[in-house]
Amino acid sequence: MTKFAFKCNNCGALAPASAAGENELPRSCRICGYGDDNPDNWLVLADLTEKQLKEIGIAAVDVEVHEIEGVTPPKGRTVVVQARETVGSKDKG
Amino acid sequence: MKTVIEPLRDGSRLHFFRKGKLQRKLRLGPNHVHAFITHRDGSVTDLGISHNLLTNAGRDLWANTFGHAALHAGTHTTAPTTTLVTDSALAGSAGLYNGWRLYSPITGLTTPLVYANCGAGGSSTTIVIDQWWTAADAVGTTPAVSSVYLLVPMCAPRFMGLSTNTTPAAGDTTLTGEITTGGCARAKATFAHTSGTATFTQQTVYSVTASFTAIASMALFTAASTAAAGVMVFETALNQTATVGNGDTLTVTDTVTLSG
Repeated sequence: MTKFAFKCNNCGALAPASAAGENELPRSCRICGYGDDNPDNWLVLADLTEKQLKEIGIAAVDVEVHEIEGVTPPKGRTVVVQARETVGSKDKG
Repeated sequence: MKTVIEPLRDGSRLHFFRKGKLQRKLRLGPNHVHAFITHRDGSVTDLGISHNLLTNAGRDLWANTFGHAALHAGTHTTAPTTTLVTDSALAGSAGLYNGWRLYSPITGLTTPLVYANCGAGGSSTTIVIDQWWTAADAVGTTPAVSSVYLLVPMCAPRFMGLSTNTTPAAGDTTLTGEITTGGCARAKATFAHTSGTATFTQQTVYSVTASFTAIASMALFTAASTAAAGVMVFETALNQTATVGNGDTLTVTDTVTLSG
C-alpha cells in the first residue's frame, strides 16, 4: 500500500515522501504541475488530524513523514562560538 | 528555459524561451521524442531526438478505442475506494479492462460525473483504478455504493514515466526500472494539438528533487499511478541518457503521429 506525505492544494493529488527528495517539499505536483516556488501549495499530511485525513479519504496508517535525503542528523553537542568585533580591537599577532 | 509547442501537419516545432526571449527552435518530425535538461545554474543540456515505439498492448487498446469495443455497464455492489471498484456481477478477469475508463455519478443524477482509469490487476469482480478524477483533472469524490457505472475503451496515454531501462521492446507491458522518486515519478503530460494536423504532443516537465545518473527511456501510460499500472502505449529510448540532480528540470516531449 502506497503511503503519502503531501497533498497538493490545487488539484488534491497525494504525493509520497520520496517526491520531495532532498527538499522539504516537492517542487511541483506530478498531476497539475503546481507547487514550484510556492510552499503554500503543499499540505503536510503528518500535521493533520485523523478526522482531516478521513475527509481526504486516507487514514493515519497511509501517512508517512518525509525526512530529507542526504542530510545526516548532527551528533554530539553543539558548540556556539560568536566573534566579537569592537571599536579598538586588534588582530592578534 | 520554457518551451512552447507549435503543432505542424507532420510533426511539431519546439520554441525555446529564456526570460521571455526566443532562444532557438527545434523541428520534431513524426513520432519523435525530444528531451532536454535545464540545470539549476540555467545551463541547458539537449539530449536530442529519438523515435517512439508503439507497444503491442498499446496497439490493442488503440484498436479497441477506435473500433469501439463493446461497453460494459454495472453497479458498485460494494462501496468503491480510491483505488478499487467492486461489482459482484462483473464477470470479468484480472486486468480485463486495463486501459479502459470507468464513468460514474457520485451520488445522484445531479452530481457531476467522475471517472477513473482502469488498471491491471483486480479479479473477476473487482477493477483496480488509479484514482477518481473530475473533468478538471482534480481528485474526484469517491462514488457511493449502489451507484451505476459505465466502462468505455479509452486510449488516452497521458501519463509519462521515466526509467533507466535501455532496451524498450514492442512486447513490453511494463516499464522496467520505472522511477518513482525524486520528482521523476510518473506524471501527467500536457496535451497539444491543432485541428487539421496529423500530430499531437504530450509534454512533461519534471522538477527533479534528487540525483539520477542514467535516465534512459520514457513511456506513456493510461493510468496515473504505478500501482494501477494501466497500459503502456508508447515506450521510447531517449537519444541520450539524462543525468540530473536536485533543482534541475527535465522536459520530455513526445510527438505522436496519426496516419491513415
